[in-house]
Amino acid sequence: MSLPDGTAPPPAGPGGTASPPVGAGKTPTPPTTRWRLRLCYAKTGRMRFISHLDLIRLFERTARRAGLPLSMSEGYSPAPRIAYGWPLPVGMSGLGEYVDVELVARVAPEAVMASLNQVLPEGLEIKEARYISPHGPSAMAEFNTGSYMVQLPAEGRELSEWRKAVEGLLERSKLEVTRVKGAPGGDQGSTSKVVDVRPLIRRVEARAITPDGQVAIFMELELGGNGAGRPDEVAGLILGEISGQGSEAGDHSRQSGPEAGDHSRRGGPEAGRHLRPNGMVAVRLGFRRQG
Amino acid sequence: MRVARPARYLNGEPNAIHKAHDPDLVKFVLAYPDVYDVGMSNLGLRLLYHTLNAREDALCERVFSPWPDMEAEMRRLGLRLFALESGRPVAEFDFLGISLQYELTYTNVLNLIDLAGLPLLAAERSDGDPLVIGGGPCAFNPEPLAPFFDLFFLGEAEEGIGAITDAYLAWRGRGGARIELLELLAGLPGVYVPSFYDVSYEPRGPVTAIRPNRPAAPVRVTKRVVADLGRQPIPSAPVVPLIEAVHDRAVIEVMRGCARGCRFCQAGMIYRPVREREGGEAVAAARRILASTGYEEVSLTSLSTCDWGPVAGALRDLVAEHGARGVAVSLPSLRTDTFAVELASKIQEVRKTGLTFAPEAGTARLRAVINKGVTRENLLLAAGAAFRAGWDRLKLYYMVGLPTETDTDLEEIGEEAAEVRRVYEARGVGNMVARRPLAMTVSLATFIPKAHTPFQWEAQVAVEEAKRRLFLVRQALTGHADGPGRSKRRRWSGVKVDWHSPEMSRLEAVLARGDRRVHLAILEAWKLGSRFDGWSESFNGELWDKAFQVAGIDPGFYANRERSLDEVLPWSHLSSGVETSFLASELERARAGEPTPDCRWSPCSGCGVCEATGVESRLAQVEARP
Repeated sequence: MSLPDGTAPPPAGPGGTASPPVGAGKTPTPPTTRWRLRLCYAKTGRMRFISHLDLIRLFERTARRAGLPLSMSEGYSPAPRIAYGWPLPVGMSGLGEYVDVELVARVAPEAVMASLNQVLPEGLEIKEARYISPHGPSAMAEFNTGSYMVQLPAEGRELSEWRKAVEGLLERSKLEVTRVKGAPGGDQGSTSKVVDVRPLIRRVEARAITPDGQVAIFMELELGGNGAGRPDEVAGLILGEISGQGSEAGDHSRQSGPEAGDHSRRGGPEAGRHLRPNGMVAVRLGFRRQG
Repeated sequence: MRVARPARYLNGEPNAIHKAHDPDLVKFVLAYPDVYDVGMSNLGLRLLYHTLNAREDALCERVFSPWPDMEAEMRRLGLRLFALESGRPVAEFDFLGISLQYELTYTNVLNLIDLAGLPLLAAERSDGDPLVIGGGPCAFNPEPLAPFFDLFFLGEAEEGIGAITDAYLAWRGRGGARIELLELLAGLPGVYVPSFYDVSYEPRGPVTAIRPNRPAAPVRVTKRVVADLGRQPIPSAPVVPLIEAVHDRAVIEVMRGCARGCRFCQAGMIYRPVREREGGEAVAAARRILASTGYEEVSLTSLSTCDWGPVAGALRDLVAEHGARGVAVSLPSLRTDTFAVELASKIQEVRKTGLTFAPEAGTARLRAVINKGVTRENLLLAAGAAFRAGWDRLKLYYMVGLPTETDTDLEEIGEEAAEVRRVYEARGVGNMVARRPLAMTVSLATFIPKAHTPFQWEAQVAVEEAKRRLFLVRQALTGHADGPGRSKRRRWSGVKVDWHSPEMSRLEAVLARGDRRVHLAILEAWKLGSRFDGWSESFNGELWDKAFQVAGIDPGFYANRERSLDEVLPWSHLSSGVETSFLASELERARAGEPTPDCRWSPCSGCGVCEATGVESRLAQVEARP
């Protein structure tokens, strides 16, 4: 499933200046002091199946239920000033996701956490809350790298084989995948484009073979103006590499041959987003700023 | 991911109720035969969910129709339909309650029963299987579904479900066969056990007789209603969907029933009498629900909320209390008058929405026939008030194919819309408002005669004729005669015309007034793959044509035939409390163009519902009524 469009605000301007608070575009900032609270939360279990837009709706309602003194935008459709971090793909857990909430009064961070956690559904939990500068960058502008732990069926292969495949992958100067937007065959039609994802990969390491026969792969992928790296794509590329596709000279980049297709029930040569391998479990561990 | 919107099949929404599956409890699973996003918008389902779970000796869970992608996965994996809360198979519950709101969900009804792993025909189900019970407006003529259901409940289930639960517990306590339970239930008011009635027909003709075949079954089943909404509190903590539902907001039911008496309207007949909730109670309920859900919108709902006595005061109080926090207040529909526009202006302060009026017919003559007491003057005054208040988007609803309709009635819709536009252009607003052209949408639907209405004997116009009339209205509105989407020469481009598919309306008419024989066509259509027939993108008229052919059912016999007043109607053993003689006299008055006033502010019109149900109209305390 691709990320929903239009959820990402434009990246911060030069030098990482503050992006404007949600909804504050047209109206002058009211004189009241606003308290900007950054919440770090986990989205796991069944909640990983709700989309980013669903999460936004759920979070606003939860904030109302918890009775937080929300700062509201002006205008015809007043909305709470809440800014979300990088959206999670549907189906992926996140252990350290961010959201910034603006309040009209200072409430102790521990009290905010407690009141939100009391009403959040199982699978969503606030882990940390702290006040940040009202003028600092948004969570989306502040971080440009996501770290992920991906597990795939190791299919009896040794860790060394996986490490070799990862090394082989990282040696390539270009890794092209086809990204499909919109449901294929849907009434809106779908468009696809070929993207070189090599520059989006910052780090990949095969870490261990788990007792239940999974290979655990750590990844750091870029999130930013050049597009976002996707763990399922990278996992698909590694599978292509390990299954022997990568040993041939020439076009190693199109990891969508018959072997790679075997790992994806619906994956065809053009279905880049369907390269998500069967049995893959991915977790976003957190974010950092790099470079 | 193979299934779109997986959150449709999750549980764990805020305020969902999870009870342990204690063997002593009576276990209900309530099903809505459409997707989660649609089903979670249904008020009745939510009310019943909380009513049942409030009992210590019962539990209630929910299930919705899987979208075809999920159905394919379920069938591929051999997964049986499961209830959301516990994930347990539906077949393990004691009752499978199915909400029957709309005829075009009937193939989904069959699909739910089949996916649950139950035999489709009630006669083939055995002692360990849940009882399949249907309720909602379509239960007032459930005959096309009769062979698939063990029982139906007529009327407001909060009032009857308690007695059904008690009877079930008593039966289970002493142990017995399924048939004994059905006999026990058939004796309760509002309960209809279809297998206890024999229906005879003229060969390829109408029903000739409907007779009970067991002593427990009454000759006529009359609906049950709640006497006092004040004793039926609004659930304080409704379930908040995790994904966006069609109507995703706090809903305060302020009134039941409508006595305006529009002669085409089934809801206006079967939900009588009018019972109003007190204003203060509604405002207090809104406060509780907003606190427990965090919703950003609260809607005052009923068949005609502008008629609710306390409406003005309640809206004022709600806006004052919640408006500053960005909570919008909304009304689901507006009456066509200036009072309604004043109300809408009050809530406009918080959030701007489009405005909708439903004149239903284009001339005073035809509006008298259908007893829709709206004059063109009302409409123009209301529209003028709305335009001066700043609205520039307006939607008008009309029907085609109404009894006695002529082409003049249809052409006048164009004239009426043009007059509304002239009012807009002459509205004389302040210079702050941009001179934007009026954005008007005219929505058309083909009239569908429904059971238990004065027009239950009337014929629906054939599909081809309906299309001719729809195009005629379109031409009158826009000045071109092309089909949809091919307009070149428009006299007026500011009007958008859309309509509900006449083929779908024809199917709805067949199912709405069908008898038991029609079940064969539903079964056949389901076998051929019909699902989600109410969704225009999944409706497949050819599958249904084939189904009718294979089943030997002539749809025209049910949709396009006028019945004589002495014909035995397939639902004549079921009563909404409104007497058939009243419906017949209303039909006569319709043909004579005579109005029948609303009994809330005029003398009793003698519909019979108060006598039949033992419940009278109950109006809220207000200082002055609009």
